[in-house]
Order: sequence, then structure tokens, then C-alpha cells
Amino acid sequence: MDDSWQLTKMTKIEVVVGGEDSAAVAELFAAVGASGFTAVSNVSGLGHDGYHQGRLLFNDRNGLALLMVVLPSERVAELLVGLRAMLDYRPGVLMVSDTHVSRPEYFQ
Amino acid sequence: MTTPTTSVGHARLLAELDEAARVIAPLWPLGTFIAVNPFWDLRQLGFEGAVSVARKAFGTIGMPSPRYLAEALATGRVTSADVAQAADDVTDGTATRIQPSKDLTRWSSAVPTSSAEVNRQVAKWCAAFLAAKLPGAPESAFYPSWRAAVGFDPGTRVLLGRQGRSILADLPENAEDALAWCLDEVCLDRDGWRHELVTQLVALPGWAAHAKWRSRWAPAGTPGPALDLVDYVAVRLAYDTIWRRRHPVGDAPQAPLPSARRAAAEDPRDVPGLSWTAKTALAALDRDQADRAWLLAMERHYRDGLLGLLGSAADKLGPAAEVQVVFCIDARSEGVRRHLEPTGSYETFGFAGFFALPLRYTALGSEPVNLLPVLLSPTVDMYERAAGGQEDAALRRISGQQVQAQSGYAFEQVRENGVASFMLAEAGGFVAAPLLVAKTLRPTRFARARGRLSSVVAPSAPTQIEAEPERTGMSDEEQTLFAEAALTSMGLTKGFAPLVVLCGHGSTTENNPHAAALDCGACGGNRGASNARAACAILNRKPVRNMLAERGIVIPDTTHFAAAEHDTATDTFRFYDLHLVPEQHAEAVVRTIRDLTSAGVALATERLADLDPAGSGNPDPVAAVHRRSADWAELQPEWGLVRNASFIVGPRTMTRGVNLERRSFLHSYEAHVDPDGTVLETILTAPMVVAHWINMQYYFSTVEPEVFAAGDKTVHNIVAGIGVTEGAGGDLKVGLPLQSLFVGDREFHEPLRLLTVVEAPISMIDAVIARNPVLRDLFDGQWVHLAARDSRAGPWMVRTADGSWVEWSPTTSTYLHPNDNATIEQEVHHG
Repeated sequence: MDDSWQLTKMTKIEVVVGGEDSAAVAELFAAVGASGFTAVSNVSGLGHDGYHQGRLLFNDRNGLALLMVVLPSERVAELLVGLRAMLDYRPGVLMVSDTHVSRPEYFQ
Repeated sequence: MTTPTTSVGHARLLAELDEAARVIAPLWPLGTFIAVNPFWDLRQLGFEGAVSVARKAFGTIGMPSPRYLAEALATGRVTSADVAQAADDVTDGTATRIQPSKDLTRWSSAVPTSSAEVNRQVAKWCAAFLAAKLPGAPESAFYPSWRAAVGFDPGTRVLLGRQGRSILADLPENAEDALAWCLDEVCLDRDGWRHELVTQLVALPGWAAHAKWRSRWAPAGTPGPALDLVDYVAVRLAYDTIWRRRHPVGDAPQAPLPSARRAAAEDPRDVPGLSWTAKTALAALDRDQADRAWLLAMERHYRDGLLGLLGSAADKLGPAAEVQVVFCIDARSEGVRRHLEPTGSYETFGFAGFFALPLRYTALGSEPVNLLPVLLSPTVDMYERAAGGQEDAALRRISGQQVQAQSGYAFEQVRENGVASFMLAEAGGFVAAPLLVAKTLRPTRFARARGRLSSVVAPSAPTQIEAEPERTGMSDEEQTLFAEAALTSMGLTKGFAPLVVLCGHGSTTENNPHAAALDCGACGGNRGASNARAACAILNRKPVRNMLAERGIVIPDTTHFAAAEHDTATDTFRFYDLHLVPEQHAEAVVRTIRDLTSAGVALATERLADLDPAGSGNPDPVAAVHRRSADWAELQPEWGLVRNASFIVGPRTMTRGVNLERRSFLHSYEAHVDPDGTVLETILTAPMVVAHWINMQYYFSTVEPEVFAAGDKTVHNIVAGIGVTEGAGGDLKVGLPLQSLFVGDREFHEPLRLLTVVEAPISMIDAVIARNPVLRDLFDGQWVHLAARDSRAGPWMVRTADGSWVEWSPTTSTYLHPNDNATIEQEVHHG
């Protein structure tokens, strides 16, 4: 990473859950002070519960959704506690990675 | 006092609450009331697993009572042979499958404890908040509104004392902090949180269900006070925390749980009238197993009768139909289709009544409303506007509507005012009294007179729904995609008749808080005419037809789509946009109106026999159903979807000519135009899910009316337009009113799990199930039974609990009518 790029290091958390659980995940994001997030509905893929179909024509609730949030590192731990508790009893995927942003004030 | 503080992270707390709230289903507001599986969020546990959790959380059994079983046996809805066979299958484990126990164990400690006084206080605050009577409402959230007011509440002081009330008023400003503090107070450790949260939720399941709807299902921007889950549980637990300090555990008098009362009195193994073989088979089971065996036996009895009928139904379609009519899949449409088809050259179809349009619709002079299944979000905006040259008439209509709305608003304002309401009674009583007498004694005439008055104040004006891209925001391409999805999903891709009618449905009733439950579920508890009109507007557009032709669906220029609506309370039909019907189709429309009217009379006669058995043979059944529809004192204006039992996916030739007794959701489907199963996937993941919700709502409202039914209509009070309570206050009632399920204390609904019947290749069905977890939950979990056959000539196959298929072999061959013992075969052959 070149310092001249003037990027700020942050943490990106990606969660794949059932569409009907999106609201609960978004609630957790808000609880740790996230000022925004990105959601991609109707994603598909293969997991240990089997294949998950993508877009369902007349059902927005039972497809999978990918939610992404970028946070300062100090807020990550609390969010992970909540997400782990949630994913303990329902199918889903949780991915955490380092990322860099150019406008850190958007993610405070 | 110092404000309590906590270091608990909110995220963990919210995750625990979300998990606890799985025991509660959302409760939609009355205006858009829809049926829902009370255990939808426990569906991963399977039917038996969810029933087991409910037993711990609510104290329910979740199975038909032995008294009901005895009646079913005596009236032929199940036989001893069915019971013996099912008991054997339950014994050897081939009939049911218990889900892995991991999920069950986490619910094992949930036992309801609550104080009636605490419940009264919390219900009082919830009702006041939703009626915007608390400080800051409706903008403020529930918890801060309550916190600002509770310090001045005499009822709270009586319950908790002055000090207790002060503690409540000094709780943290934030609901999450308050909830965490309370949990720390009442739980030994965090492992006890979930049990405590479940306890709070099931104490007032109706208010909790409303909060769940608001937090998880309400569309963004829903107006009105927002009572969400965190705030609700924070307030409920705050009361309970202080109350428990004053009343050590064990002091609270508790009514015996429903399951305890039943278990003491009734045993499914001791049902009278069983054969020796069946009794012996049941004797080898414990009570829970015996309950399961009985339910399976009744479901198989229904299945055997139904599949036998479908197997014998030959293809009776002759030459191309002159008129095609697409009805909603609603079970009530089955009766119309059955009576309409013999009257002329008709071909009928079944399709979800929103006609594939996830619509936000704005009627002339009205606010927008969502007309779509709750599983979807609106993506299409369409508007009603004055027909060409009718702008002045439209303005008169809008002006009249505004006068009516303002009069109603002024009346409500005066009525709610403490002093003015007395003056209103004094001043208006001499006018209101004779009107009330007329409304009571002559409901039909009163309704007609009111309709005439309304048409004078707000005269009707020809309108149409705008479908031009520049007016809707929907491009021609998008409209074509919707049209293609609709036509393909209903199996209508060729052989278009000159007239195609899209027929929605709604129900006209008086003084009925649950009226929306009788409207179209696929339109989100609204009437379906607007969706039909909008779909017709799109399908009649030349650019859409041109693009459809490029995709292989050729609609002749000579074909016109017309919109209609079936009123399921009166079995009358209304056509819309007649001014748009081309002259060459006028005669077909007139003929269709005539035949639908005739079919409606036949259907009204049939329905009246169920509504009023003592009055069967009524010389004027049409007048009788109209009276029920208009009578504000009528408790059973119609039976709705009572006795729904099956969801049939296939061509109409499977069912045409068969009396399915309005118990079947019929979805048209042609497997040969769906090689990759995407249409079948759409049908099973959306319309079938909605049918399953309806089926389970009726099921649990019937078998556990104390917990999952809405109680007696005669004592309902509407709370803030959101829900009803029984009597002056207390919990919101969930589920359906007793009068929608029972005749007196006897079940009119037959509680069976939905049977889905599909005519499609088994391999395709398996593939669709495999790639959709929601279908695996429903079929593997035995929420829904599944039978299928590859083709008309193939044998029926039944999907078992482990996902394998076995060839159907009926236990008994005769299907008996639940009420009069007449066989369907007899009705078909002699009727």
C-alpha cells in the first residue's frame, strides 16, 4: 500500500443471510453506530446447507442477501459478538477483512 | 436515584432478542390483515419441532382435540383403518421425522410466567402510544414516550409503589440500555437472557406480534407510531423487573395452561368408536405419538379422496374456448370456476390475484397503497386517471370524495372530544336513531340507499389505469417482462381467446374489523380489481404485445383483456373499464357477465347451505347472501377460506368437472412449457408459501383458539385501527375470529396441513426443492405434504418425510363430505 494514496485502513464485514434476516442484521449494524451499509439481494451459492437459489420471482424474503459494512476497527468486536450470536442459530456466512477507504469520515 | 447503567453491548442483546422473537409471528394491522403461519420463524424445526416449542412457550398442544377426533371419526372424515395405518407408521418412524435436536434444546427452558397486572399496564401503554396519546407521538419511539409519561401514571404507582414508579422513570434514556439493565437484574447470567426474553414476548403475544411486524415486516416509511420490538420488550421487562422485586417468584396466581387442562381431561388413545385394531395400534403409542397418528390419518384420508378424484378426471376440453377467465388461486374461486364452465365456451385459469404486478397503486384522488403479496416489495407505480374527455366528471368525483372524507374526519374529531361528543349525541341522536333502526332491520335496503347517496355526493366517473411508460416509469421492456412472467406462470402462452378476463376478488362486509382477511391475500389484504385493471392495461398495449411476440408469445390483435372482480360475500361480479372494450367484444362481455351472474347464483346457493344449514332451500339465496354482506350485526358474512386443504398445481383438465368444495387453491401450470422448472419454482416459493400461511393460520386458530384465534367478534374492540382486543383492553388478538372457524363450539374448519399436488416431472420437483431452502423446510419439515405425478398417465407419488418418493396407495377409497356424508363422486355423477 502506497502512502501517497492517502487511504485510511478500516475493517469490512460481509454477511450473507436469508433475505428475511436482513432487517435484523441491519439493526445490528445500526447498534454499533454504522452510518450506512450496502445490501445486495438475491445472491446465490452453495453452502453446507446445500444450494441456495438466487432471485425468486415473487418472493423477496426467502432468497439470500449479502450485506456489507465498513467500520473503524474499534467497533468491530461488538458487532462480531452480535453477528456470531445470530449466526449461531441460522444459516449464514460471515467474512471479515481489512479494507481501505478514501473518505474515512463517511464510515465513522 | 442514580440512572442505572450497563456495559452490555447492544449488538449481542439485539441478536438474542431476534432469536427469542422467533416464537412470535408478525401481526399485520387490520387494514392489511393477512393470514400467517404462527410459527413461520420456527419452520426450520419442522412442524412437530415447532409444535413442541409452542408447547413449552405457550402451553399449547397444537393438535386437534380428542373431542374433535371423535366427531371426525363419527362423520367419516377419518376411519379406523386410517388411524390404525397411521399409528403403525408413527410407531416404525416412517411417517414423521423429528428434526435434529440442537434447535429444540435451546428452547427447552421457555415456560411462561407473567403477572396479569403487569400485562394490563403494558397493554394500556401500547394502546395509548398507537393512538398517539403519549408525549412525542407519533414521531417519538415507544420507549422514550412511555418513559416521559410513566412518572406521572397513577396506575403504575398502584402496581409498583411510588418508589417503583420512580425507578421506571429513571431508567436509561436508551431502550437497549434499559433492556440490558433489566436483564442483568432478573437473570443470573447471560445464558438466561433468551428464556427471559421469550417469557416477555409470550406474556402478551398479540402486542409482541404487532411489534414484530413493525420491526421486521412493515414497509419502509409506514406512517403512524412505530412500536418496535426493542422498545416493547424494554417496557414489558421494566415493569416485570420492578414487580418481581415486590412479589417474589411463586406469588403470582397463574391460570392452568391450556395443555394442562386438556391433558387432564382427554386422551387421543381413548377416542370412542375406534375399531379394536386401531385401538390396539394407538395403545402402543404415547400421547404425542397418538396425536400425530390421528392428524396423519385425517390428512391421508383427505389425500386419498382427492387423488382418486384427480386420477379419474379426463380431459374434457373440446374446441378452443371463446372466453378465457383467469381467477385468483384463492380457494373460493374454485366454486366460481366450477359453476361458470358448464354455462358456455369457457376456459378458466388460476393465478395469484396480484397478476404478477408488485404494484403501488394510486387511485384517483387517493393515497397510494401497496397491492402485492407481503413476500414482495413494490417495484411498480401505477395511477388511475380520468378517461379521455371525462376530466370534469373525475373532478366532481374527487370533490365528492373530499366532502365525504372531511365529513368523516369532522365526525371522528367531535366523537373523540370529551365534551363535544355529548353534544353530538344530543344534537344528532334524533337523526341517527332512525338510521340505526333502518340499518339493523333492513340492512340490504339501507346499504343500497347509502350507495345511492354516495353516488350522488361523489358520482362515478369513467377512469382508466395509465400504462404508458412516460406515466408509470415502467418501460415497454419492463412491462413485457411482467406480462411474460404472468402469462408463462399461468400457462397461457398460446391459444388466446378473443376475450380474456382477469378476475380479482374482494369481499364486501359491514362492521367487520377483519374484513381484510376476506379480501385478496395476494394483494396484501386488499381488493383485487386494481391489479386486474393494471395487468389488462399492460396486456392490451401494442408495444408490449409486439415484444411478447418476439419472445414467442403471440397475442392476436383480436384478443382483448378485460378486468373484473368477484365479490366473495355476494357472489356478484363487476366489470371494469367497459368504456375501453372494443365494440367487437361487447357481445362476449355481455354474455360473460350473464354467465358469471348465473354462476354466482349457483355458488351463492351452494354457500348458503354452509352458512345457514337450517335455511337450506331458501328460495332467494342471492338476497340471503346480500343481507349477510350488508348486515352490520352479521357474524358470518361469509366463510372465507375455511376448510382449505390443498394446493393443486397443474392444468385445469386435472380438476375440471370435479367438485373440490372450495377447499383447493388452484394454480394453473403446464410443465411442458417449463423445461427448467423456473415457473414451478416461482409457484412453489411464492403462491404456495402464501397458501401455507393461510392453511396454518386456520389450523392453529382452530386447534388452539385460546392462544391463536382472535376470540369472539361480539366483544371485539378496535385499538387504534391496528388490531382488536376482547373487551375493554388487554392483549391484541392474533389469528382469525372464532366465528370464522366454528359454529357454536364445534369446528367448521377441518384442521389439516396443506397438501400440495403437482403434475410435473418428479426429477424437476426434486431439483426445485433442492435449490430452495424454504421448500426444504416446508416439505422435509412436514409443514406441507406433497404428492405428484410425472404425467397424466403416470401414478401418483407421495413424498415422504426423508425426501424419497413412494407410489400412492390409498388406505380408503371413499371421500366423505365433512358435514353431510355425501360423497364427492355422488355429487359429480348426479349433480
